[in-house]
Amino acid sequence: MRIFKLRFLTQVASTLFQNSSFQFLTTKGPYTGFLKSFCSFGLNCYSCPMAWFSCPLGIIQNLFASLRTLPTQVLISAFAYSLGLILLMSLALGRGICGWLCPFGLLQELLYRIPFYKREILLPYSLQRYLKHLFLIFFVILLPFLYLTEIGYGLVWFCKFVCPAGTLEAGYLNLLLQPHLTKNIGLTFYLKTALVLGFLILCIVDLRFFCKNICPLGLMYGIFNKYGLFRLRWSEKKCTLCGACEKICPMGLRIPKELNSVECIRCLNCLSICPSKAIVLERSLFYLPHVDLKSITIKELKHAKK
Amino acid sequence: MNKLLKYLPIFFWIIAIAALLIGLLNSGYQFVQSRGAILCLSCMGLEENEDF
Repeated sequence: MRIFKLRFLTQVASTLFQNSSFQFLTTKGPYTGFLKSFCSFGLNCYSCPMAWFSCPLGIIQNLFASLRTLPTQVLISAFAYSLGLILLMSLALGRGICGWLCPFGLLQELLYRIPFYKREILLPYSLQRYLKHLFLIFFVILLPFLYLTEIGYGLVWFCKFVCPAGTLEAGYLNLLLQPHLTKNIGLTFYLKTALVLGFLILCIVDLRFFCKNICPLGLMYGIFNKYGLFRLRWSEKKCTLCGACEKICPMGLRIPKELNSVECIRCLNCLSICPSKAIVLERSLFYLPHVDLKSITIKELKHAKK
Repeated sequence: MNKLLKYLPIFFWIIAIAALLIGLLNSGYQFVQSRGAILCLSCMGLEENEDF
């Protein structure tokens, strides 16, 4: 049980740490200093008046949006710096960032605590698995690069049309701080507000709905779950096939098959709940595929043992 | 093939550190800072009017 409390406290501390700039009290705008050259841990809008750091997803979109306008040397150095930062974060922590540090992840978990109708929402066809891939490819990379505005600069499509963190953290707060911005409210703002409401309701019904189905940043971190510094290891000898790990997994993963999959947010609930300590967190710089887990789930193992 | 896979994470670490160093030495962080420091109307879902 200690790990649940520890994770919750870390999430709260991370959210407060990333959003503790009070410069807005004097400037009425977001912090603009040196710390903005670093990326935040998780989805945290850089236009939030209290944010210290830049949102990695926003930076990637800005990079693709300005590919045709930036001088080559600036482009290469900006690309190298952003790639280095995001890759280092992904390799060091993987999707542990989603589970332990992301402010929007914390919000989703708090929303799920609201007593309301609960159900796992399954999207049709392969959307359940691939919707966030589509958001990453189209809204974060292709559309910002391909669609140019009159001034020759692309749009940050995911931020503008999808990202609920931007509307919640930056939109409403900045409208309160700078009332003259209300003249910029248009159809997009109303659509995004409706989208935010929709996401919030879905997150009350299904734990981490946004993480599971929409978030391209989580996908980017998750790709390195298998190759990062920390990985989960399952021991067939110790496992009693009680299935407690599958029941407690907030992402609904099939364990041990999907133990280090893109979806695993490294909450360590499975490790904590396992009565026989069959799941451990290992640290290694090397890739160690210990067993071929392509078709193993607890159910299949139980069936095989019978 | 398995031996190559074993060292794949090391390869990623080298790329990450090299990219970060190249970016730092060529002031790539200035791009991140400049983009992160603006009041992004798009992120808020607001329209970018010309008279703003």
